[in-house]
Amino acid sequence: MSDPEILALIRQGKDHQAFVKLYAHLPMVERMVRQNSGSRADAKDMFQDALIIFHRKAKGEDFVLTSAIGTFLYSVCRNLWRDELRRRDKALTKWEVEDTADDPADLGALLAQESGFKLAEKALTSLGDKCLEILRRFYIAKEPLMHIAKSLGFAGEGAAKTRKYKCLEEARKRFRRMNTSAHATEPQHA
Amino acid sequence: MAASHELRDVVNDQRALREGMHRVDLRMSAAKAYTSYRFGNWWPWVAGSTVIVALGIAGALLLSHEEVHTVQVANVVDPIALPQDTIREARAPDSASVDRATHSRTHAEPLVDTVYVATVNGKRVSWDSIPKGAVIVEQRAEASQEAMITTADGGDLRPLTKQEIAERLDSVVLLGQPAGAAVTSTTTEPMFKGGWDAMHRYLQVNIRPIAKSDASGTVIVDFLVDELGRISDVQLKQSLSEAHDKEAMRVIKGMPKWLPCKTNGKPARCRMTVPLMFGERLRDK
Repeated sequence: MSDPEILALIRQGKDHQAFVKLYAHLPMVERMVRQNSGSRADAKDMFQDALIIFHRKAKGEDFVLTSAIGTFLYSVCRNLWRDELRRRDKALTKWEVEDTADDPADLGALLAQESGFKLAEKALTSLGDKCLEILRRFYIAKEPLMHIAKSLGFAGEGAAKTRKYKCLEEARKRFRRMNTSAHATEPQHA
Repeated sequence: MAASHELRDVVNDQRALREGMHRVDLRMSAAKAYTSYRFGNWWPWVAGSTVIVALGIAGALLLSHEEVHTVQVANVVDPIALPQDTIREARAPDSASVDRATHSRTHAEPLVDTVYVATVNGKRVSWDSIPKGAVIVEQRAEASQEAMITTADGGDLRPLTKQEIAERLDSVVLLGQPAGAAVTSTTTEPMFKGGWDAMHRYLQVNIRPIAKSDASGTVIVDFLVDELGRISDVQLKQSLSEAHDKEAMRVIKGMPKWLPCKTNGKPARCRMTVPLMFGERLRDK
């Protein structure tokens, strides 16, 4: 399946099918990570992040494919992995990948923005299943509150609304806290 | 000045949280796709419709020894102190909760979706085999269903540790153990000859595409495996659509002989429950 076809799948909302195809690029990333002090699991996690970043880019209205998707995913992973290694104990890690010029021009900015979103994701998932489910259904799936209240077993729409509000507030609070502490330690992207 | 700063922060937070939610969604989708990518070669993707057998909620019901199951407050992982008011009467969950179990979202991308299983004395049993009136411990925040949560990391089903349970207060934990001397018999589960992998392959080969249907969901089928391993009394426990139900019943009825369950070493009659998950169509696989 060609890159434009995969892109088309994402634009049609067929994420699953597109992702399955894109995992074909995982072995390449795995090799890079494993040769540089990482494990298969590290590679898999990071590849997921790269998929998410690609997805966001692909959904953007003005997005044009300028390089092969595989190259893009690989670039993102290489950068993410380099940052991860910086965070880890230097004595135990090695980094032997040449920096190349094929990184997309806006990659640094993209990754910096994304790491903020990733913190938000962490804040959200730390809330627990129920909170996450409410928020996801309300904000992403855009289900009516009445519906959500029923299927999650709330007494009524009001109860679900209150819970949703509390969950969001808590998420914001946690995100804020993570954000402040992260700024001190996160590597800065140029 | 300060006020506009704050406002900007709030707006930024909101954007980040919204994108964070998208990420949660996408991560789930990516994790699922990974499973398909990784196991695509033996998962039964067929042209029209796909079938996945969820391994989780399968268990044996021992027909001739129903009286032995007195399930009592206890747990199989590690004792947790639970307040008295969390102890409730056990109910055999309805099909809806079973369905929800197979579809529940995953933590940290286990290879198989999180499944909820009931355990008795550390052994998985079918929901149906929990007698009415048995006392089950459940730990709950606002939960609406009982379950012992078992996750699948790297494909292995395992009970949660105390720590993990504490982290999932939003979920319910159902834990059970037979009362002392009441249980004396040991029973093994019936098995498809060759194990679950063989069963997957069997289904892969034999499930026919469901024409003109993109429906996805679970059909739960329940059947009797007699002493000789013959399949009989196939019953539909949860329906998806007429076509899916029919196809599920057909392949289950057509299965080769099973290895019967054994009670105290002797072949016995057991019921088996198998959920068949019909997934979304995957083209050009």
